[in-house]
Amino acid sequence: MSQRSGERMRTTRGNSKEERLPRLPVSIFEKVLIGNVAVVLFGAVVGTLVTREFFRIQEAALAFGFSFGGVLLSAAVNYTLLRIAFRPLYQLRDTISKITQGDRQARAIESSDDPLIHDLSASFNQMVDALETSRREASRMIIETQEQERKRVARELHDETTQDLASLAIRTELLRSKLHDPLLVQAVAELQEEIERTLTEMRRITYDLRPSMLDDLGLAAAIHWYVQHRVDSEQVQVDLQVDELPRYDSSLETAVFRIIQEAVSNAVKYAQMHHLEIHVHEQPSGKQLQVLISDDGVGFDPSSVRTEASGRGLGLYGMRERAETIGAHLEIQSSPGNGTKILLVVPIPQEQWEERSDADARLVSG
Amino acid sequence: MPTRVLLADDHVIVRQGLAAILKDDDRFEVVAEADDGEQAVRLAKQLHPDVVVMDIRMPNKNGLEATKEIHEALPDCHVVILSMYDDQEYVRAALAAGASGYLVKNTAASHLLAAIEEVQNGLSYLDPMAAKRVIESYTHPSVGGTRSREVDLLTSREREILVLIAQGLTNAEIADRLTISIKTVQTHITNIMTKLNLHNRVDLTRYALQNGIAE
Repeated sequence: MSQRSGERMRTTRGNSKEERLPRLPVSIFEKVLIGNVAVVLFGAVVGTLVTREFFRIQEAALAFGFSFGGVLLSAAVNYTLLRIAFRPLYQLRDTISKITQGDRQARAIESSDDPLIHDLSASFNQMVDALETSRREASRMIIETQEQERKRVARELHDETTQDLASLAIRTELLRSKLHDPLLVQAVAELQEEIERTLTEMRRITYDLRPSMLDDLGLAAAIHWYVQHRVDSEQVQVDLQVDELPRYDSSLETAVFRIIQEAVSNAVKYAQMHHLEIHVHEQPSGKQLQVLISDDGVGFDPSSVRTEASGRGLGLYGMRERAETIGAHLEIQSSPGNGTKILLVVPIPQEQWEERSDADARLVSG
Repeated sequence: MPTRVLLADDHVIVRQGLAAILKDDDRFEVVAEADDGEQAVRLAKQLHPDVVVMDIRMPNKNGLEATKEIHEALPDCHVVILSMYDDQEYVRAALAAGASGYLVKNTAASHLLAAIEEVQNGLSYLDPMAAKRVIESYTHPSVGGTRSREVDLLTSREREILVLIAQGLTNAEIADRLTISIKTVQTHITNIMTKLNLHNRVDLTRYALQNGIAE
């Protein structure tokens, strides 16, 4: 108890001491400038006094005028020179503020003659690069872990709980067929209805976590299913064109599906659209997958949404992250009043399309 | 002679339930039960059952692949798919794999006997829910079959820059012409190359000429 209060006292004293220190609200630049001006001023004043003392010039006012003008002039020259000299630092500051605002590609210019500034910029860039690399790695891991966890829970629900319920439904049906008392038949029928409702709910939860179609039937079926369930075709005219796609790597299928899911879900939530276009096209060479999600809704300003920490901002952020994990190019074109167009260009890893063209060649030759 | 049935489902209790239904009726006989797709194919080839009742999600080989193999190897053996899902996509995939029947698990008990009987007679049997999905697939836009058209990948600005590249302008000249910075021009060109999967200016020029973007 006493120890703790002693600690607190020390802390308090430390703080008050710090507070007593004079804090000059001036930048390094201003300090150097003030220092320079002070030196010049001191030189001029002393010079003038010395001159006056020894040479007895009567026009003191003129002498002061000259020295005052000299001071002003040298201050101006000083200002300009310092401004130029400090330019790399200003640029560094601008780079930092760009990065803070979300431009993760911004880097400091390293071509300075001053070795100190050069080193500063270079190590700053190294630091930002390292942070960016670990940030990417971290978000890739978060996305992956979340997806794995969703997959695991969905599978468990499907393989255990839902199957148990299904078997319960089968057995209740069997039981009902053997009953003769209408009251009992009625009671069992109600029981069946309840099982049915629970099953439907269970399926909904499983699909929300991760549609089993994505694993069982692939990307095209999953996209098709999602769009039909998410978009009300009474309200919105949907133009859905999905190529018959081969099976890709699971991580690629998942990323593309999740990006489309987010884009369509955003359009449904925010766009107030009448028309939604979704095209998923595989280049005939099989080397690239092209996705377009376009609506005629109210649109938005992508740069202002980017800073939103929740909802749509987070969703768009997630889309970018997912695109990055599969090396895809994601473009979000939108402005208020002009709808939204989302373009995703996915490179198909070489071993996947090579494998297929080999298989095609065998088919042709065989 | 009773209809010989093979049950393939990795969930023992579901299989037991179905077996119990079939045992109650002497028109049917369960000849074997399989835990996974591979075993189902092997047992089918070995025992030549009249009908296979098959789950979709199974380890080793899923029910759709197993159906395809059985359908190809044993044309007289009919497959009834038994699934947790009644979605259009699953029903279509099952029928495409060669299944003659489709049942949704929770209502399977009331349809199982009829389904086995119908498919054994060379007919088809769809659970009413599955049938509804198939009908819906005609009234809703459908997946696959038709090839979607090439996606228009370039923005109008990128198109503009592509034309200038094809005309042989340098980045500096393009920047000058469009009054944007050289860095912006470079970013645009990188984006164009990524999107078109091209890697140099010669390819870009060729693309622009071939696709009528530039003359």
